Order: sequence, then structure tokens, then C-alpha cells
Amino acid sequence: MSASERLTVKTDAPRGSRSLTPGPGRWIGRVLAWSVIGVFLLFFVVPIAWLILAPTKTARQLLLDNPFSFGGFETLAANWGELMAFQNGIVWVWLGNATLYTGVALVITLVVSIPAGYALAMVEFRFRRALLVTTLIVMLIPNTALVLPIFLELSALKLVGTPLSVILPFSFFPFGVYLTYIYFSTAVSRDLLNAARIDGAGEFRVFAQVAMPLATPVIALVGFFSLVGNWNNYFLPFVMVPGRKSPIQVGLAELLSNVPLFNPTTAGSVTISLPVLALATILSVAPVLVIFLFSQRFLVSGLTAGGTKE
Amino acid sequence: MAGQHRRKAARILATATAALTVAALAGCAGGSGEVNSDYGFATADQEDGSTITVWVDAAREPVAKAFEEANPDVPISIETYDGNAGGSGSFQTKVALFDQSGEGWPDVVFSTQTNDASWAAKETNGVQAFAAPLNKGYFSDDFLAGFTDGANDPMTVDGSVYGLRNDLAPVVLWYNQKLLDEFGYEIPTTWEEYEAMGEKLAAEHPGYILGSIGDSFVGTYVYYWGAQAPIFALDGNTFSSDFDDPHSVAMTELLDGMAANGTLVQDSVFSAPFVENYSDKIVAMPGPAWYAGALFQNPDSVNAEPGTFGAADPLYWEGEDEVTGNVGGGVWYASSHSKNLDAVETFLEFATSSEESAELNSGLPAYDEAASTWLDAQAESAFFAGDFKAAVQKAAGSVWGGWGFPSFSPETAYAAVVVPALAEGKTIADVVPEWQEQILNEAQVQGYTVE
Repeated sequence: MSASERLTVKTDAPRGSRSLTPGPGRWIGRVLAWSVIGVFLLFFVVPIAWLILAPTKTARQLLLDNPFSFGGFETLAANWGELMAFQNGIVWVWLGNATLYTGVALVITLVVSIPAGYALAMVEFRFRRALLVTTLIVMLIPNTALVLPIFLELSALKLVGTPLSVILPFSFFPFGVYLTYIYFSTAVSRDLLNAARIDGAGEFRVFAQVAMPLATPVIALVGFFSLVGNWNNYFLPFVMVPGRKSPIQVGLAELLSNVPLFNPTTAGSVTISLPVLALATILSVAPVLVIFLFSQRFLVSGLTAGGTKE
Repeated sequence: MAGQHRRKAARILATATAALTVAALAGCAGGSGEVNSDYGFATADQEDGSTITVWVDAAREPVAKAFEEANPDVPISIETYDGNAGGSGSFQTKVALFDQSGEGWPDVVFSTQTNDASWAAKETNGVQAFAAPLNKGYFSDDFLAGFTDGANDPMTVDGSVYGLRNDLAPVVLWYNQKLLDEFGYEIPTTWEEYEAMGEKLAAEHPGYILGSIGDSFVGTYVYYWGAQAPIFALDGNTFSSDFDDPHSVAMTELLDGMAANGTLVQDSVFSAPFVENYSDKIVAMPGPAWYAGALFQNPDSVNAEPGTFGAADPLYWEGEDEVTGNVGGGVWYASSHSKNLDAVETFLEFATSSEESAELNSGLPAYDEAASTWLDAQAESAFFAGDFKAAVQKAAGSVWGGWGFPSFSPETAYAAVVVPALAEGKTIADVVPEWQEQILNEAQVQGYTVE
């Protein structure tokens, strides 16, 4: 039902006194609905607002001032300077590492999982069902549980400490295969692909020139999920790539260990204050946020695709 | 279809090969098992000139870099990590993974915790203990004797020293000279005088304080450890927590009394209310040596005027040993799997005892000579009133040896039981049974025999 249809139904409804002046019950309903929305909004927005304001203050202001007061741009600049001074701007190295690991993994994920999902949805072959069930089962195993066997495997291959030790496990994304499978089996018509075949297109051409363009939303979605999951993954890179090879999430934990409040019994000459840590946190999520803002349109259409049949 | 079968078979083969390789490697991990008499443990085949990997936290990176500069002929790879901070367990997690794979161990590790020997000195699943024993021929006795008395006790298991202490954090008595002069009080020297001062201060100058019991490291390490209370004792694998000991009972009474009269507050020394309300109300306060930088000289904390605060000898019970507690201090470990033990030795000697290390150390160095250099530099700044050097030096050499270093921290139980109870208005005595039970439970979970 389209929005205009819904509107028509509403206007055609009998006009009783209730619809002209809403009764107290309806008001209570509205107030309740808005209160629930308000509470949830506060619940989610308040911490983010605090986080965004934190880097504008000094550590002392953060302790003593109003939690939602704005400190000053000068303090923000000073905190930025302090973050950049930490191990000579290692935060950029961490961000660069994270970009390299997630970027290469993203490309491999897309190259592997999109054709795999397409084949599972469109081609009948032996063990197809078994493969699908395996994909589903692997999806259910938490990533952390696989870290030890993956570590041993990569250690045997002498890859621990190299970028590949993170990129290869990051590229393993059964959820992407499943998502693509669902998309192709529900939202793309087989007749359309058959029409291309009748016109003389080979299997590769059908995939590349007909199926792929139709699958843009799901490609965006798989890419986004893979990117966010890998960007935020802590444990795998933590055990695989130490020191300067760490991505930003592991780096954040290192920054945290230099905050005296969280690690009081260590007398460190290098100390990170809470506002600087907050700034680093914002910096670590900024790339994902920017990508989300620019790809929202695809993501939303990808999420709802296949939900309805026309 | 045939192609798929082939691929599947190939995959199975590859997986099996990988598994076998892992098993073979794990089998090798224990090494030959023959003790090398020069070192006192089974060493790996030594490769002269091979690169040593050193793990440090951000604060110790400058020392490692200084070593690199001073010793260009020793190849070194410096990797920073979280320093095993706040019991993150990153050190143990990573070593456990390397134990599994049978390779990849770092050669030197700096840890900000003092209790890693509880696992690093033990063989795990047939793999040789990660930490190399250092006093069985590896390091010279002369060098080891240069450490402050008791500094390496936390890493000593059955007479073997498994780690070298980087810095010490003995508890001293911090005092505000200006307030003492204003009120006409003397610096207390014993716990009894400290308690009596609490009563006097509460009566004559309410609002002024003698410390805080809101931090779990203060409650445990500063007060109970300093009072020789055997509430956290370890003998071999037997753990005990004796709250009926006269020292424990006396300290509980002292703390409850001073909390009741308001001279001990419940705010954490790092919290906003403490900074806001008590920065200029601290008359005296027992605390670790690192309060110097963390509180008194810190512009974001107490931020005292130079010459206001001083450090005095630690408090003790009248007529008993003059001992004190300790709050933290980092440790250096050498890997028993290292292929270049000579380079590791050179590095560790530099990191703990060289003049450069003393200059770069943020805490009080555990090596006597370095400590002296460090204290002289601190005294030169003339920030603190009184004889800062003498007080800290005395405290460093008199840390009570009855406190245990098991694989868990006493802070957890204090934070879980005592801190909330105090907030509810209860006394410590009220919750002693519950607190003791919590400590003993944790010990049991960690596999200790509980007495």
C-alpha cells in the first residue's frame, strides 16, 4: 500500500467527533508515545553529546564543569596537539593500518562473497544445500571463538605479524554470502537472467552485466557490514599485529592504558587525559560515520530489498 | 562436479596439513628440555646478532629508544603495547598464543603489574615457563644485589628471580606543612599517632582530612599492607586471608573510627569531588611515592604550591617493625625462549640500572644507584618540603614482605564489597566476613589452596 493510498483510506473514514477533536485517550496515547521517544532519544543522544563536547575541555573542566558545557576551541586544539604528540602521531599510523586492513579485506570480501551468493541462489549444483547450511552455521560462531585456531593456522604459515594475518580472516565473511544469496533468490528475477541468456550472453556476462547492476544495494550493504565489523574488530588484530602495525581500535586500548584514572598504580611519564581519549574515540569512529552518511541511500534500499514481492 | 570434488579434497588435505604442522610445532615448543648450566634453564639455540623483540608500554618506549641509540650494534625491534595495564591480561593472552604456536615470543617484556610471575614462572601445557630465571647463572649476583632490598620479591618463586623490578611505589606519609604549622600539629610517625591526630583534627578543625578510603588500591595496599595485616598472603600455592590477626583488627578499627569522625573520606583521590572539596584540606595522607606527580604536582589534580607538601617516613605500629606498603611498580621479564640471551641481558641491565634509565624513569627506580640519581633530581626541583629523598629511600627499603602476589588483585574484592558498604553507611567491620569470603572465593577460582 502506497503512502497516497493510506492517506485516501484515512480521509474516507467516517468523520465522527473523535477524529475532529481528539479525546483524552488519544492525547494520553500521544503523550506516552512522545515520552517513550523522548526517553530513548535522551538515552542515546546524551552520551554522544557528552562525547562530542568532552574534547573541548581540559581534564579539570571535564571533572568539575557542567557535563554539557562547551569548553573552547583553544582547548580542543590543545587536546588535538596532545593526541598528535602521542608517540609522534602514531594515531595516524593506526588509522592508516585500519584503512589498509579493512580496505583490502573489503575488496576480497566483495570479490568472493557476491559471486558466491549469486551462485548459491541461481545455480543448482551438488552440495549446494550443504554449503548453505555450513555458511549459516559458520555465521553463528562468534569471531572471537575462532581467533585461537586462526592464530595457530597463520602462525604455521608464518604470517603472524604481517598485514595478511588480519586481512585474510577479515575477508572471511559468510554473512555477506548469505545476504547476497537472500537478495538474489528473492529480489532478482530469474526470467530476466534467462532473457539475457536467450539473447546469447554467456554465464559470466549475465552475472557481470545483468545481475551485478541489479545488486548494487546488496553490494553496498555487504560492503558496509564488512567494513564496520572489521573496522571495529579488536581481538583479532590485537593478537595478530602488535605495536605500530595495530589498527586504531587496538591503539585506543593502548591510549586508554595511559590514562592514570584507569591504570592508577602505574607511574607513567606519558599520560593521556580523558578529553584526549574522547577525541581519539571520535577520530576512530569518524571514517565509518562519513562512509555511512554517504552511502545511506544504498544501504536503506539494500536493507528493505526482498521484503516485499510486487 | 569432479572439479568440486577435487577442490574439496584439496581443502581437506590443506586443513589436515595445517593441523599437523601446528601439532608438530607445538611438540617442539618445549625445546630440548636440557638445562643449560650457564643460564640455569633450558635455552633455545643461541644466534649471535639476532634481533631481540622488546615489548614496552608508551611510557617505557623512550628507555628502549635510548638503548637503541646507545647500542647500535645490538639489533632491536621495539613494539609498544598496553603494558598489561590494569590487569588487561594482554601479556598472558599473547604468551599463551605463542606457547600454542611454539614460536613468536618477544625477548623482553615490560609489564605494569607486579604479579605476572604467578603464571610466567610456571610451565604451561608442557611448554617451558615464559620468564627466564635470572639468578641461576644468567645475571651476575653483583648486578642483582644492586636492587633495593625486597624489590624483586614479587617475582621470586622458590628462590628463583623471574623478573627485574623497574620502579618502586612505596607508601610514605604525605603532609601539608602549612596546615600543620597553622594548626600547631606534629607530623605523626606511628599509626597510633595518626589515629589520635584524626580525633583531634575532627574536634578542632572539622572538614580537614587525613586521607581517603574510596580507592581500592588505597584501602588494601596503603592501609592493610602498611599495617602488616595478613589479609592477602600466599605461601607456595596456599592462599590465606586472616582478618582476625591483631594487625588486621587494629587497622579495621582505625579506619572505621577515622571514617566515622570524617577525617577519612570516601571520595576517590582521582574524583572530581575530592579535587574540588579537599585539595586544600589535606593535612596528612599516607600514599604511594607516585602521588608526587599524580596528585600534588598535577595541574589537573591537587596542584599544590611548591613547598606546601612534603613526604615523611611511613607510618608503623608503635613498638613494631618500621614497614610499609607498596602500590604498583613495573617489571621487566626476559623470555626463556630468546635466541639472543646476551643481548637481552645487555638490554635489561641498561633499562634498570643505567643513568639514562634513571633520567627517563617516571617512578622511583628499583635499582639503588639509579634511585639515588632519580631522588637527587627530584630533590633539586625543591617542590617538596622536608627531606623528600630520605623519606622515600627509607620507605623503598622497608616494604613489608608478608603481602602475597597471586594471579589476582586484592582491589577487586575491596571495590565489590567494601566501597559500596561504606557508601551505604556501614563500617568496614560490618562487612569483614563478606569481604574475606570474596577474597577467598577469588583465590579458589584461580586454583589456589585456600586456608
